[in-house]
Amino acid sequence: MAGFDFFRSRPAGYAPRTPAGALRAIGAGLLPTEHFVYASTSVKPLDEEPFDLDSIERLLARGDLGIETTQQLKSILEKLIGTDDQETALFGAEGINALEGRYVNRIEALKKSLAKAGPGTAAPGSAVLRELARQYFELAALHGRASSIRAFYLHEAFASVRAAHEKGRIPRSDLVLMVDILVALGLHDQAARLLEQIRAEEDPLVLMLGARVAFHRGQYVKVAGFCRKLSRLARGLGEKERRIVSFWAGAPEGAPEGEPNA
Amino acid sequence: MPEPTVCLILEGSYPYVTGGVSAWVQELIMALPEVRFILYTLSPKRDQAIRYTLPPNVVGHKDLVLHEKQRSTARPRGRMDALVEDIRSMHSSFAARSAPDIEGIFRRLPAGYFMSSDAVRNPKAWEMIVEGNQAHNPVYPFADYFWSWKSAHDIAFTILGQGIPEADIYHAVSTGYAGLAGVMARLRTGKPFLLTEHGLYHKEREMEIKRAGFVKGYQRDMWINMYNDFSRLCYRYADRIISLFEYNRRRQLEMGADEDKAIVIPNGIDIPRFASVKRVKRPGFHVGLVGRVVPIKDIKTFILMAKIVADALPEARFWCIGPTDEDPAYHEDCRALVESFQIADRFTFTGKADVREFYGFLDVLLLTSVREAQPLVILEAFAAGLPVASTRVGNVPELLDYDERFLSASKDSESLARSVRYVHDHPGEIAELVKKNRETVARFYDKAEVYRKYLALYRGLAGGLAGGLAGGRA
Repeated sequence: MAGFDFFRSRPAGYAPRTPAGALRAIGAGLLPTEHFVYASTSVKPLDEEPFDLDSIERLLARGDLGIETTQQLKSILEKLIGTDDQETALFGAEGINALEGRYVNRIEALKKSLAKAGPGTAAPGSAVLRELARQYFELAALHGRASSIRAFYLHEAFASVRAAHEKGRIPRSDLVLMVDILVALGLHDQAARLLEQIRAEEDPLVLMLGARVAFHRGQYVKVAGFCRKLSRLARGLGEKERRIVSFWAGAPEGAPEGEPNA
Repeated sequence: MPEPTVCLILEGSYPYVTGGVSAWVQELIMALPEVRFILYTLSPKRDQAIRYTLPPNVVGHKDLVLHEKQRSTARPRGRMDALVEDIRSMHSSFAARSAPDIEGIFRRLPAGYFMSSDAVRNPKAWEMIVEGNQAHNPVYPFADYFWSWKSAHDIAFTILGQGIPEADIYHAVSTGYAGLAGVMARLRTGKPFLLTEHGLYHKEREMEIKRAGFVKGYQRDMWINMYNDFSRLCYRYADRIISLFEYNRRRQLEMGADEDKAIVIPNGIDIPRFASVKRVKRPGFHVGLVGRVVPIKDIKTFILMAKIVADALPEARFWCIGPTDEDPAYHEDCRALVESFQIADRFTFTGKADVREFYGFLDVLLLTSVREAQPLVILEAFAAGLPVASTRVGNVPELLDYDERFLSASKDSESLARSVRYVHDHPGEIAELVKKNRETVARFYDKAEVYRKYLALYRGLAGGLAGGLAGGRA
């Protein structure tokens, strides 16, 4: 290794801004390894003030962000709106518009494709409706603080997923979304009734959703009951679910030895 | 002395695209019938439809299509290698964020010479491109860098190779490519170059580029740097630089504009047209927004504010006054939002309308935009006798006299609703404020005065004077 004094003495030239860029530069023999170590260990959390506007801009430019990242990015942009510097505030407001605009455009495209499919088709765009519901749900999540807009988009999401299954049984894959929407709307009783209709006593997903809904209804005994049932189905559980189950009902049966209990 | 002939240099606006800047240009031309105007337009494609009736004092129009391949009819003066060395030195100055002296380069570049071919065929010029790739993009394919470089530079080469219409003054209505053409005209003809900026071109483009997912990192930097460099050149070579308000003038000074050359001439309005609006109180409390239904106006925040106010003031009515056809998806989303809030019976999207009808009965005007320069609707409302509450954007804080009761952060619907409630709850105080605002508009924002200033500038510049105005507020 050349040592970190490299950064003080290196000639002006290509300076990658991301660890990925540094790695490529090292692979191409353009920079010493220190550059990657530096780039990958000196990463500042995106939401740490003072904000790193370059990093925020880089992230904002990506159109493939998941909802969690988008939510986090939006909360940072909201903070930027409150800054005294007009340009920074403007960047915050326009950044939020850009994030929301992506959803609105996707929703519009889905609606257009639904209109094209028409009601006469065999399955009138149920996959499209499900995707539409998901986009509405995420857009609602993006409006976490503005409760009336959030509720509006949640209702749209619910109407879309409902329309997708007007005649048929709700498939397991859409169940989570539907319960998520109902829980987000605060319609816990309706979510519970939906789960009761499904009656899949041995399905870990349904049981986990049951536990979630019971938790939101303040029915902690029921939560524990669901978790006890779940503890017998350890193989069907993921890491996160296993932790929840072990918290409420002790280590699931068949859990690997030495597994942490919480 | 005959009145001057002014060549207006326009990019992406008049007379092909409607909008604020285009309307301003049309009105300027019509207000100064004694001045002869020649339009030099920079267009993305040929044969666009002209959206305005050109006034009779428009005596010429040359349209330059930026993406068309040009054939050189002249050669550079002196050795090509020496020209490339000057260009290399220019880029070093740009890298140091300063505006270089490019007069030497222009002495070598005659009209009719387009550099795009030599820029890739001359070995020294090619070396510069390769070095640029090494400095900015060595780990990605050279082809990516090359095509980005080419698309960014070919437009500039097209502009620099063109002859410019003959005129006494060259007046660019933005920096960017129009500004570059203005610099070129200044250096090639020795005639004065006047720059008017409504917004800040390089800042607006930067915002667009940063949000565009399809522009890669190094391409982004290349485009942003280029627009910043164009602005720096404009600020160096313009004989007068006009902004609409002091905040933007400060930004121009930061980018190298000379304090004595940079002046503020705010936009004005036709005061009698709005002051003559007959105000008649209607039952209820009427809140209006004048603007296109597009995301930049943030109509959703207006709707959210409406919901909050409607819950508190059952008599409140809301008017969104402006075209709805520019972004149908956004309009549909807004309309659905109004319905979902169950305020559709109290909320109206008027579509395109004569705003004076509404200024006659609105109780307060709201502006929820996330971006504005100097919004004329505020001046119109003031002249008509309306109080205004707004987001803190562009020149709005100055227009609202930094009165925090009527200013909110962008997207803060609750704060905007509080401002509306304040207007509702304090009629006596608001009446006093309205009177004061009317006087301010009449004093500082009379359109007739704006045109008088431009005429004085044109005459001063054509006469070889310093433009007849000192730096600062004109």
